[in-house]
Amino acid sequence: MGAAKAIIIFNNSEWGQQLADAFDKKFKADSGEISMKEGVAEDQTLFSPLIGKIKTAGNTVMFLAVGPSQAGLIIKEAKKQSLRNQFLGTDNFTAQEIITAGGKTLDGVRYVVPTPKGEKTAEREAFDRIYKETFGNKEPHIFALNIYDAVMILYKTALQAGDSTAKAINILETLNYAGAGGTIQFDKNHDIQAAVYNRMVFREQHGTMARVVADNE
Amino acid sequence: VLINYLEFAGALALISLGFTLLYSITRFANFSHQATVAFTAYICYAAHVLAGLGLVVSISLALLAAILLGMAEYYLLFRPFLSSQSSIPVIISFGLGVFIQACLSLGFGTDTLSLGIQDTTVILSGFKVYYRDIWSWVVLLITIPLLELFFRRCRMGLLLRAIPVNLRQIQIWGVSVHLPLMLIFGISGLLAGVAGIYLGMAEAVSPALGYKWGIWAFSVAVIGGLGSVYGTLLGALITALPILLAYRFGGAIMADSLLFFAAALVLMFRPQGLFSINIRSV
Repeated sequence: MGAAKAIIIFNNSEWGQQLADAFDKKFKADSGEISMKEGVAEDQTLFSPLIGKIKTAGNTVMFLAVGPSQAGLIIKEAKKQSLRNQFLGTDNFTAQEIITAGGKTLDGVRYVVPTPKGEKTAEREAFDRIYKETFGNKEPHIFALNIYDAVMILYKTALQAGDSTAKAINILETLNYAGAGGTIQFDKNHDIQAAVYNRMVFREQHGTMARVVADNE
Repeated sequence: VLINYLEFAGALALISLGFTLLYSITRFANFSHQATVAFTAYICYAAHVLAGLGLVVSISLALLAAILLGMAEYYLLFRPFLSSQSSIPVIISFGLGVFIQACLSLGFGTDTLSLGIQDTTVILSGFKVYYRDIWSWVVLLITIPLLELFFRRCRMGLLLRAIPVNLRQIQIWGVSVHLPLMLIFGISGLLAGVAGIYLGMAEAVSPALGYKWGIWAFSVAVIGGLGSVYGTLLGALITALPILLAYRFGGAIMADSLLFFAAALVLMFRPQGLFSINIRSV
């Protein structure tokens, strides 16, 4: 993005801390400078003091490793205090909560969504149908897909491996599972293999916030 | 900083006021106050977003529901126990708060919802200020003097002031306190409702809406003086600045710890609060 400085705001949880550390490491490796790194409590909703503090750091990239509601509130407060930072987030920005909290102030906010191979599997279509029937025609949250797949993989692995840990590890290392979130395989670090990282951006369209693939703009 | 301070102090005072008002008369801390805050926000959501009613009608309906909830709480739950000088009303209020939250979760789900009200700002002296913050101060500056006037000049207000002094004596004289008490529960509900609309716009509607604010409000009420309407405003004005500074330089945990420590100190050395007025002398 060409930004030499970045601010990280992270949730004081293991998830938030790890994400913040990963961004910190990668940004510095690319010759960037982290000008501020601030943790927030998981139930925090008051952000005006934090934004006031960040204001002194100038207009930089702001990476938000926080929950979607918190991200919405932070961006809303930042825009109110006339900050002009470029906001970045991760796949949890796909949750509706960020739009509920942030509203139209999200225009221009960017995030990245890792998408596994083979997006529309038969499993996904079945999942979408049952999810909408159960939750009143709502689009499934990305974490709903991930959690469903994780539970199914665990269940099937446990059935096949029995009480053998070595066998379970082997099954997972060679896994090629067509799940609701796409085809799932793990790499040598045991991380999920994403086929593509979609760069998304929020845009106000017809009075509502829409998610647009940034590369298509 | 000044704008942030006034916004935060106003919100704190707004949320603390209904809580303090009820305590001033009944001498029990109603911990279901926060649930009424969330309840009102959901009623406004149901009326405005789900039923498509106009904004003024939706807010009015939500506030009316908050008043009725407050009155129903008194009549159905607290009425038999207020003269017993026991901790039963506090325990009931805890249970009631959990019950209302559970009902909201079952009825509306646990996802955060939008009130559908544009949270717009206005520029004052070069600073953006939310309209809701202006409204919160308008409500405070009208409500607090009105409440003082009510307690000093109205017959019912005078009777309400006598309740915490000696409820049994009043009952022995054959004076019914049910209507004034129901009224004060209704007003407390109304103030919780105003806070609910405010927070619903500021954050998003969820069953836990205002939970954190409720804890702050209790501390502010303790510091300002549980039972003092003006004390609540002064308590909010005094505590808001250290909270904001602690949030800025130490984070949420330090801010909350400082606030609770200050409340504990007040309880130890001046349990009536910094600005409480002895109700007998008013």
